Amino acid sequence: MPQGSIYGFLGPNGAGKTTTIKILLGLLQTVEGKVFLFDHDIARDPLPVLARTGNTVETPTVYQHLSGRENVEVVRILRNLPREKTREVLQQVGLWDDSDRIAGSYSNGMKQRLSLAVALLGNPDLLILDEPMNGLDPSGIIEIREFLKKINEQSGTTILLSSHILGEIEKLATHIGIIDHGILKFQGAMGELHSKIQEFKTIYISTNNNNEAMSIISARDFQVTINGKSLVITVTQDSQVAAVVRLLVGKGIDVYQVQHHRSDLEELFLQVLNE
Amino acid sequence: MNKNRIMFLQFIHTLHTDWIKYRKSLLPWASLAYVLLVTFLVFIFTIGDKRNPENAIFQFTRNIISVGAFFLPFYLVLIISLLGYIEHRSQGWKLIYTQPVGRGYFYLSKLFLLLLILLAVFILKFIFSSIAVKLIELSKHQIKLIDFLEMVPDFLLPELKIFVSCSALIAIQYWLSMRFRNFLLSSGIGTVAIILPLAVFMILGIAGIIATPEKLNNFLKLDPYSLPYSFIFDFSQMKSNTVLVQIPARFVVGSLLAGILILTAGFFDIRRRNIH
Repeated sequence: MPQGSIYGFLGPNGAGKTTTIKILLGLLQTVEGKVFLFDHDIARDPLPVLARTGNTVETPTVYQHLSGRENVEVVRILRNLPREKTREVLQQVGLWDDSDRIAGSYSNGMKQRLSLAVALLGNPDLLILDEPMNGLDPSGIIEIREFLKKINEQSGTTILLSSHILGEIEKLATHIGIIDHGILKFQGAMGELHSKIQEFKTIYISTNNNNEAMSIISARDFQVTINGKSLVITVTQDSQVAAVVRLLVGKGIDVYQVQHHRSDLEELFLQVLNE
Repeated sequence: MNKNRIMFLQFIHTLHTDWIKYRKSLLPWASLAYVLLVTFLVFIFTIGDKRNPENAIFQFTRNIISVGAFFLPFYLVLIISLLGYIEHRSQGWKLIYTQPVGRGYFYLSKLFLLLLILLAVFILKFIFSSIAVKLIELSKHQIKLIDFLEMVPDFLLPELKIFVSCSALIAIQYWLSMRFRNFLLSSGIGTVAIILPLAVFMILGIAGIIATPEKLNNFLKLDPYSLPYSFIFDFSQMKSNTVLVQIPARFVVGSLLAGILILTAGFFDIRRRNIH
């Protein structure tokens, strides 16, 4: 992970995202191999790593019977930070006005923000956030996204962000990693993703006679299947899309619709998982 | 700053955060309820006792200790289970174990807090008992607060023995509480460990399988959860108005050693566990 990057960590449910994050934070021990963060072995020497790291793992950690302010205070005192930090981080996440309320009465979004406030307490160099958008409404998602961008730009904090909301990762991340069944299947900058994506494109075509259209297209060595009311064709260049449409029209097939509706990240995600 | 001072300050910070977490929990209320229950029961019994024995103040003090000892394991199981449960329920282990603080501090800090609470309970019990004696004095003139205060030093050693005899119970229950996410499971195991030997004791006694009370009583002393109140069932001596029944020192020392051993093993176990 390059310093100052926002690293989107993707994978289907059960792929190993949270497990990886827990290993990075020393919550789980590895059976074999070692994990180094900031040049320290997290299993043997975790404290220097944890001093430079803020995190939220899975559901927000909130002591329900304490106020928002007391929740932050618990970590501030543990880290031996000045009192003003509590107010500072609560203001940063927009919870200062509600900080004396019992955290158990907070909405999911507020609990996420409270967790984020706690994670930000030590001005971390690395922020590890596991599914921070979970349980948030659309406005909450936008709020957190903008907030993370700001933190990254202003403080240069490196952010590792795991999520299954691909659109969000695409809007935020400068780098991505895709994990499946515990194996990192892709890792790289967003630019690399675009070049990889250009290798294959999946096109959806609707016609008045899909069966005949399929036999015409497959005769020309295109990879084609029928998915519901559409033909699904894999192409490598845009010119091939035009060639397919010309071919069908030339054979008297009416073409109703040509679609390439998936985003790049979704495309890559599926490609990588299917590889 | 020297290393010991840094460690001491870190311990104080950890203790401070534990205090913040537990002061608004059920823990202080459970402690208050325990003290109130013990003094209230003895107060009612003493007020209602028409016999007016000669050594009434001795009996009152002994009852405070005996009733306190009987409920002590139940109270301990409840508050120790709460110590771990509050972290489990809030997923607090994830939070505190990812702070730049050694895991051992959290283990020791909660344990120290527990000991402080027990000390507070001990002091509160004395204060509430004094108030109860003063109230009883209004209707029963043979019971006087001044006599009670004079008698307290004699009861310090047996009271101390009761608390020390809880060492093994505290150690086992503390480990259960740190390990098990489910409050009902950890507190349930503890409660069964208190009730089961007592139930067996009663069944064996009623059935006459073990005829002598001493043997029955020794049976209770072997269970760390029953040891603190086992002396209550030393019927022959409890009938006396002058004999102070105590837990035999060898059982107290045994419990202390077992407690230290289990707490040490727990310290290493809890420090290296995975947080799922």
